[in-house]
Amino acid sequence: MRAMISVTMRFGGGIAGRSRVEMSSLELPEGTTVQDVLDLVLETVQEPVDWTTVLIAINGRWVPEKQRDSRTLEEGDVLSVIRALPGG
Amino acid sequence: MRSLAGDILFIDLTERRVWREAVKKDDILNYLGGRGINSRYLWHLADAGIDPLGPDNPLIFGTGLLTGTAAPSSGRTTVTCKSPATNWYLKTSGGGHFGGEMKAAGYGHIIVLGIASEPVYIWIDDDKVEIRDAKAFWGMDVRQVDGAIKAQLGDDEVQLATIGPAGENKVLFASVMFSVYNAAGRGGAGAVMGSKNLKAIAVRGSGAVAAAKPVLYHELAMEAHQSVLADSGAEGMHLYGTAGSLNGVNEVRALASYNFQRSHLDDVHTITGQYLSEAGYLKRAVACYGCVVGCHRYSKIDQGPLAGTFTGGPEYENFVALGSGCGTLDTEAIIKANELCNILGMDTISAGSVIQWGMESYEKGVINRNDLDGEELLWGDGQAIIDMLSKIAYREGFGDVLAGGVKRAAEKVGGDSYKWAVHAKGLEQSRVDTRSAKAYALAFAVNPRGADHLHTETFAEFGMSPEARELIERITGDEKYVTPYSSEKRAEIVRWHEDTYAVTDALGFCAFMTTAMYGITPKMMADLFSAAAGHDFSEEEIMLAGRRILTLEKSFNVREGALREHDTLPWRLMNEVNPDRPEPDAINSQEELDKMLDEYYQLHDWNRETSRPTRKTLELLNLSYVADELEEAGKLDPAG
Amino acid sequence: MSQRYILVNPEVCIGCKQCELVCSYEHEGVYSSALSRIRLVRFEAECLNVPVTCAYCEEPACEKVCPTGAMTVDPATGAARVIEAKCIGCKECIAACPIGAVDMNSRTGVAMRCDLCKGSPACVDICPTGALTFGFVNQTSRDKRRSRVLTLLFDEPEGRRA
Repeated sequence: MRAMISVTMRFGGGIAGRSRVEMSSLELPEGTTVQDVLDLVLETVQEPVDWTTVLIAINGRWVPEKQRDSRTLEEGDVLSVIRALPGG
Repeated sequence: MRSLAGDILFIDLTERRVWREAVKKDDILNYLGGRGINSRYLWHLADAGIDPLGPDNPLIFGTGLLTGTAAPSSGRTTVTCKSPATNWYLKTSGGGHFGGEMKAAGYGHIIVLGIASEPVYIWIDDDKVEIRDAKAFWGMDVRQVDGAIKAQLGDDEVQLATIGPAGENKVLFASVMFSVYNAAGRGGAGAVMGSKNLKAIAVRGSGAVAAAKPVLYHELAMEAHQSVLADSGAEGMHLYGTAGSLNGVNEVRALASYNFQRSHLDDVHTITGQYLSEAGYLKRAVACYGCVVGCHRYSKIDQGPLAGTFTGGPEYENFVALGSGCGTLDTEAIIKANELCNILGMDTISAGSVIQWGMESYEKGVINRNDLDGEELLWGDGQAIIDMLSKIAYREGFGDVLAGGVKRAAEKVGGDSYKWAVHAKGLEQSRVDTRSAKAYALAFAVNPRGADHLHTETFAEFGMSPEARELIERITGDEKYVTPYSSEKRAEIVRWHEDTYAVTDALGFCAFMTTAMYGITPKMMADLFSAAAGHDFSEEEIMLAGRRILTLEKSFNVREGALREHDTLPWRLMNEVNPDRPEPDAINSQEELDKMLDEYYQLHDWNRETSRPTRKTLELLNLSYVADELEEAGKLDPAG
Repeated sequence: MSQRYILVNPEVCIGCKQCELVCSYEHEGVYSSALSRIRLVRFEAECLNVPVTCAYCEEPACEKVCPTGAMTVDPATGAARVIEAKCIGCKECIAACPIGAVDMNSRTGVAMRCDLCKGSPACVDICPTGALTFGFVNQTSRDKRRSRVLTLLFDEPEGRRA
């Protein structure tokens, strides 16, 4: 039985109709990858998501696409999964 | 038929003389148009050391070479002069429809010289140009004068460039407003216009323009339409404006809040473009001349204490400078504040910046109720923000101190207040926390007009779209550089962006199409230029023209005495670690800045100690006349 | 009623003027709002833009008043046509048109009116927001009915459009 870690997820900003960025606490088994969480998200929203326009960051640092399978989450991490748009 | 570049209209307000000249073919090939040709005239017309609010400061309006054609989003207009806020080079650009009308009337550039003895406005009706009495309009706000001049001329469809009370009172961040709500906002061009007693320029044009190769040009323009709309960000920009990006900037800890004391807030929903639309404040998306994206906003408050407020905006910078920067997320207060800035004619970034500096100064006891005419200036107080904006525009009470910008205000007030005066070169910084955005940091430090993004717009380093990530990879050679936190390869990133931005401004394109989204590429701009001018330019050649333009602009500053020490960042960002990202690289340290500057100057082949362009570089860029003049003034260095 | 015409939805017009630019290009080979057969009516303080072009009246006043028969329609396509050789520039059509859709062409000195670009209007093609569409009138009414009913049924705030 793997140890569990607590992670905060910030999700939304325009993904699957969720316009606010909503914070939630996740209890995840140690070794959970970013992709694992995205798969979970996909199951919850039950809608296709265009991941190319989603900003995925851990503690504010962008996670490149090819690292999603390998990058694991750690205790206390803040995972951002939000719709990214241009501007400035 | 008009020439595509249009003529240059000269107006001497002291002598009440008007004359016009054709744009020289050589100037088109070297400086393209718009901002480029503006800079060339600024160099020749504004000697070193002139008073920016005196009679010798030229006020130069230049619309893009391609403005007036069907190239998408090609309607921008640049205003160029010496800045009264910074005493350095200033270009500031705006959208709306003024530029398109200028071109239809037959002008690519309008150069205003001297000072009128009493308030005037200029009326340009195709070939007919008059300097008219504006005493009846002096004192009106931007919306009022727009209606009043249109009524006097009997035509509701003339285009106007105006100043509001802020420009009349020479607030050092007064803006020039196009088509009521579109600001050529930064650096105090409105104050220069006010110092000339020039209330407005009204234009009506009935002419036509064409490219040298009309069929090819039109094909390329239509392809450009497709490309712009195919960018992954186009829909979002249309639906939410630039404030659609606020969530993303917040997630990467770069959202400037509480005067840059914070860079990340838990819930910023009410200051996003998404919320503006959801909550019903957004009534319409609005486009500038020729733009198919329509990122500008028209908002209105229908209910509550601020019911009846209506204005263009708010956009990203407005929401942050007047909102989170001042500690408020109150959408309605921000919309109202935006309306006031627009109709009083003031730059929203600087206005928000001086107010939040004031809030922090009050909090820290450096100023008190006596200084504020018995009032308080507390974080998050929307009403205080609204009240202070009028005080600034009319230079009343403490508003008079703030009207000088944050650098002068801190000098006046003294104490430690300079530490939270977030400016460089005297220009208040754009609302991006550069401790979490290192390409922006370098870009802000080297921008000739001061600490902002509208010389480069290195938004790509946030990696928020596939196009952005691809661009950074192409420039740097590796995807690992797609991170705003790294200071590696920032010099290369800034170089590509400043070249592209200069070409963008010169041709009249909106920088959002070339540097915040990427639907218009340098190659496309080269091809469009070639078909328009009937002279083939490759991508390299047009980027070289961009390089020439910005090197000339840097040289203007050098002639005014600029050195490496002026390429710097605000004290707070260089000395205080970003509290919302407690990591060792969350600061714009001198060491890190020096490294990036060294790399940047080396890429440019400018002298590393002084930052001045070398003769070799200037001659390679066809700027021998610049090298000669700088040498004569003792401001030229050898390479190294 | 049996032909398609340009349908205008001003609520989504962003005021880009591309319609004016491509129209003048199609007909005159140059870019000029003054030579466009579709014109934006702008209210800048309210950021309101309304495109106006020939409404293809069932009883065109412009054709009725034309003294020379220059202002006419092509019987095969129903598209408007100004026979330049016959037009004397009397401007009666401009006075007669109740919506201001007819104007004088400053290059040729004859009247100009939207001719639907041989069946594929350039302005409709270029419009980025769908403020201009090319269709039958009963299509417009049908679309309006459905849109409003949807609004009522699904509780979306009415008239809120970006």
